Order: sequence, then structure tokens, then C-alpha cells
Amino acid sequence: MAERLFFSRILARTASTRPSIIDTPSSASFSGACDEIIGNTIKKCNRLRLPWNNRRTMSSERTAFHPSSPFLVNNFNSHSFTASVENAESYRKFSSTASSSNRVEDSNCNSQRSNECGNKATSVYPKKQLEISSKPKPKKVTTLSLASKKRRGQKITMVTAYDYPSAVHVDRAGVDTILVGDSCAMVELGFETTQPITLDQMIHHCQAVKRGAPNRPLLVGDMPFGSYEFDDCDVALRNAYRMIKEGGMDAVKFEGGSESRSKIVRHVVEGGVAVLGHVGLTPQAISVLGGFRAQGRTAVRARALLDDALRLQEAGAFGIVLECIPANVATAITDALEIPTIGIGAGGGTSGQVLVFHDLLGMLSHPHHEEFVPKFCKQYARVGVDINDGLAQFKKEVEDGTFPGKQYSPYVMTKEEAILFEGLLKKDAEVRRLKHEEAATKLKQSDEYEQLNLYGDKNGSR
Amino acid sequence: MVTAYDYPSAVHVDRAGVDAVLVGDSCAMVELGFETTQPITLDQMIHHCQAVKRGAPNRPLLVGDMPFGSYEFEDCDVALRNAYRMIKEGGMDAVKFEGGSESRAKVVRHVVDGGVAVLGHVGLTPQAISVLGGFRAQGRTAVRARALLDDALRLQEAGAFGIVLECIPANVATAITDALEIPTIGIGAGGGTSGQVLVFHDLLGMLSHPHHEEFVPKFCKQYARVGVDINNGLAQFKKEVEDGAFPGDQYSPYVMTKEEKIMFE
Repeated sequence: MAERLFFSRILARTASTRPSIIDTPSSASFSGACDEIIGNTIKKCNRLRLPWNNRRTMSSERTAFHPSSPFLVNNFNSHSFTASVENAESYRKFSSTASSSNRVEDSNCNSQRSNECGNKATSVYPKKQLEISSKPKPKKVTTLSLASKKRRGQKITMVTAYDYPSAVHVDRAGVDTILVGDSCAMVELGFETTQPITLDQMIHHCQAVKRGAPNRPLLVGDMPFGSYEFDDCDVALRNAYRMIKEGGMDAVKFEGGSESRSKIVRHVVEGGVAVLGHVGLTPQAISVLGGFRAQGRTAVRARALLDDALRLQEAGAFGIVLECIPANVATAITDALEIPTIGIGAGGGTSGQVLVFHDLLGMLSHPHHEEFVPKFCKQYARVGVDINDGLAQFKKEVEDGTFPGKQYSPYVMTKEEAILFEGLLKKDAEVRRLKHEEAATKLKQSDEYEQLNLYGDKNGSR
Repeated sequence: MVTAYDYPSAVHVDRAGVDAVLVGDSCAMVELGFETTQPITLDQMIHHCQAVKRGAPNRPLLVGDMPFGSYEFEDCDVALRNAYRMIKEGGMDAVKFEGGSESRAKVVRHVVDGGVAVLGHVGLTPQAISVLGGFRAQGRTAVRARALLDDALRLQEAGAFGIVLECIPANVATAITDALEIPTIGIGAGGGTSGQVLVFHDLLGMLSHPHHEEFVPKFCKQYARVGVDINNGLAQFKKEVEDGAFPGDQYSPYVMTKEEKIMFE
């Protein structure tokens, strides 16, 4: 117990100041606490060995945490790692100054690790590491922190992501939550609706997102069309488990708020999976709705939406997405609920906003082609134009011969090797030249036959 | 030739007029976030190929990269079956195999005889990263360079329609290009090849960021720094949501009529 208090006190430190209360550790508790830190950091190491993460740096990261290798792994993806290492380092440094003499001679401190712990703690750490340890560890966004944001009147941000680079960007921008939406089917995979995507495909994209934003944002995976709407609630629960276990998500999203849907939500929440609800325009039901049309425009329909939202809250959802409904309806629903609402095309009265990555960044914008952007979506960038310009420039430079040029041809042979190579080439140059001429004549002959295209185009495209 | 792994990037590469789109297994690294190109499976590659097909269905030549472990076997039928899947399910026009050894050339011959166009790949073959000992340039000694030339000739003999040359000295690439009838497409291989290929995310600076450093291969020129725009756009969105500036009236288009509003109250 004393060790745990000591340990937790140390981990609470973000700055490298000395703690006011110094429990001079007895030999047993020191090595025990040391082992505990190592055990916890290795447990966190092992946490990354989950199916969605196949990073080859794992082994090097493990050794980085061993006290015998005091250098930090500067890996932006593993904030919690570096934080725990920083804390372990500052712990060792602190403990060395506190009780170095006791420990070095300690006969009970017989584990190799704690010995090295002590010896290495006296080595000089570069100043940079001390500064890093003063950076606060980014806190994981949870369903509870979203609820408290609503209570405090702070707006929640959510952006969709479907692959590793977009997840990295959304994480770095500090957005609260990432939704791996089934809008993936439309913007990422090029389908006309969100219906065709399968659960396996969604999980594949969730895994990529998890690799890109493994620590801080709350990750919500959208359950695709046909994976949860059944009478048998266990189907939904099983698929939700797959989304969490294989996909690495923290929560799932279901569309709709009818009685049967809220029964499913209740069953899944009781199974231990957090659920985000979704009412208003539910794109999976596009055939029933008759197109992508705003919902809740009449008083009766709006009241029904409010009832749906209340039902979902009752069933245990931690939040509701409101899509494409009038602003006053969204405000009324938000006021009537305790749980936060996240709106898209629903005005400013919701607890938060969500937008699709590709829409808000103008991914498909182009100088000459028009791009469909929903009218509720503001374009914060026109990335598509830059992409098009970059690609056009690349094409031009390759065709000119400007690229790669000397600057982008970094691999060279030494002069001696180049001469040897010329020698090796000369050996069968004659044979190859003859073969080349043979092949060239053959091609010319077959070209003459092929000039007459099957479909009547006499002048071949050559 | 530019790589693409999903619908929007395929649309862009098509619109830019690029000749060929390669759905590379570099997908595993830039799109899915793995450390190497090894973990991606054929099903996942086909999934990405289908998305690319939807984005560039008509004009560019579509080449699908066969992933690690889907074609290297003695039984050439495995490679042929998987190549058929890539064409039929993935919608590609051709497949790419890495390597130019005797056994690999046999596989290429078998697949070409089966009716599937094959693009070869010699030099740095990322799928063999364990064997190579890392992402290192190849063909730097005369003997190794001559071996690369022999590999390329062997692949041409076996019926490949082109060869990708990756990370070899420029003089070697030029020599290989001159010795072949079929075109060569280089990456990190100098200007003497018949064409150039680059990875979409690298050439556009997809992961560039004002504060984080980004690894870009030294043979790759950045024609844009899209990541910076993405970051700025997202940061602006977050700021405007937290301020309450977004959505505002302009981006809240759905309204109720006054009568309905009163009834709702």
C-alpha cells in the first residue's frame, strides 16, 4: 500500500520538482516500486500488441523502457508511453538523490533491474529529457469527459476519419472524438450511398484509424447497414464486440431511435459497449426516407425525434448525433437531454459539432470540376486544389525530364564499381544487341498487323 | 505513375492526367499505418483496389500490387488464382510482382500465360525487407547491379510488360532501361528510366505538419504540403466550434415554418 501511494505520487508529477514528502524507501519497497513501474510500463507496451497494431518498433520500444536503456523513444503515437517513461526517469533521478547511498549497498536489492535502476539513475540525463517530462500527459477523452463538457457549456468537436493519415491529423489538431463513419462508403470508397459497406470493411478502416490515433481521442465506430437492426439483439452485440475488440474502437454508433432500436441499444450497453445514438437524417435508411432530406420539419415529426432521443438516453446511450434537422428542434432536444448531442446540419444549439473530413477540407475540390459539398458544411481548406496542382506539376516535371534531376537521385555507385559494372555489361552486349534487334523487328511486324483495330479505328493510338 | 489507395485519391490522379495508377502495397504503410508493407492481406488490397476502380474507372492503367505472401510459392497456380482475384474482384488491369529470380520469373510466365498482364519490380523490393536488412538502396556494386540487369532481362523474357526500378543508382537504371525493350518506371532511380512513380502521400506532403517532423524519402520531391492545410483547417474547425462561430446561420440551412414551430412548442 505504501508503495502504491509512493508510486502514484511519483506518477502524478509532471514537472521535475522534488516532492515535498520524501519517503525514504526501504530496500524492499524501492525494488518493489521499481518493479511496479517496470511492470506497468511493460503492460502498456503490451497494450500496443493488439491486433490492429502491428508496429515493428515494438521490440525497440520495449528495450527503451528497460531501465538499462535510459534514452527516450520519441514516438508521437505513444504519449502515454513517453509519459510513463518520463515519470519513471524522473522517479529514478529523484530516488537516486534521495537515497543513493542506501540503495547501492543494499543487499536485499538483488534484482538486476533495480540495481541498474539505481546505477543508471545517477547518470547525467540530457537537459532535453527533463523538459519533455514537464509536458502534461494527454488525457484520454472518455464518455464521461464528454458529458462533463456539456455540463460546463464547452462545445464538443468530432471529425470523421477513415485511415491512418487522416486519424493522425485529427488527433494532432486536438479534436475530441473521431468517428469512423459509414460515410466511408461514400467519400473513401466511392459508393453512392452508405449501404454497401460491410462490417469487415468497417473494422479494417477502424484498425487503420486506431493506429493513427491510438491514445487521446475517443474513437467511435459506426455500425454499418445490416449489422445490428435485427430482432435478435445478440447479433448487434456480437458485431459491437467485434468493432471494439478487432477494430480497436471505444464506442459504437447505431442509427435510429425506435422502440426496437432502443432495445438493442440497451442490450449492447448492458453488454459493456458504449453506444452513441443517431436521430434525424439516418443515411442508412435512405430508401425509406426517399433521399437525403432534412428531417423533423413538421411539429409532429420533430416531437417524434425528441421522443426517439429520450428513448435512446433512457436505453443508456452516452450521446446522440443529430443530423439535418431544424436548429430550433436540435436546441430543444439538447435542452431536454442530460447526455450531449453532436450536430451536423442541425444548427448551433447542440452540445457539439461533427463534420466529414473530406467535406470540411475540400478533398475533392478541383479548379475545373464542381464538387458536391453539403450546404451545412463549411470548407476550411480546399485541399483538392493543392492535390491537383501537385499532381499536375509532377506529371509536367516527369515529362520534361526535370524530375528527378540530380537532387532527387541520391543513390550512386562509387567510381570503381561503375567501371566494373561497365565491364560486366560489355561481356554480353553483342548478344543482347542482336536479341534487341530481333525483338524490335518482330514488334514492328506485329504492329503493322495491329494497326487495323478490331473496332475500325485505322490509325492506332500509337 | 502515381499510387492511390482510395476513391478520392484515384479521382485526383485520374483528373491530373497521370498515365497509370498503382494500388501499391505501400498502402500498408501510408494508409493503414503499419511499419512495413508486409502485414496487408490480399483481401485488404482488393478492397482498396475496388475503391480506386470506382475513382478512376476509365482512363488510367490500373496496376494492383500483389501483397507479401500471395504469389511467391512453388505452385504457380496460387499466384495465378490470386492474380485473377485482383483482376476480377479488384477491377485492376494488371498486377505487380516483386523480384526477378528464376522462380519468380516462372511465376510471371505462368501468370502472363494465364492472361494477366504483369509489371515487374527489381531493386529495393520492400516485401523482402527482412532479407535485405532494411530499406536500403540496392545494386550499388557492379556484381549486384549486373544481377539486377539479369533479373530485369529474365522478367522481360517471361512476359512482363514493364519493370519498376526502385532505389538503385542512376547509371544502373539507365543501363537497364537501355537493355530492355519494355519500359522501366523508376522511383529513386534517377532520370534515365522510361517513367517515374511516386507515392501519393509522399509527393503531396500528406503527413506534413507545422510542428511535427515528417519522414519523406530523399528521392521524393514534395509538390505540395497538404498536411499543413489539413491541420490548419481542422484547427480552425475546432476553434470555431468551441467559439460558437460554427455553424452560425449560414451553415444551419434547415428551418421549420412558423406555424410548425408554434405547434412544436
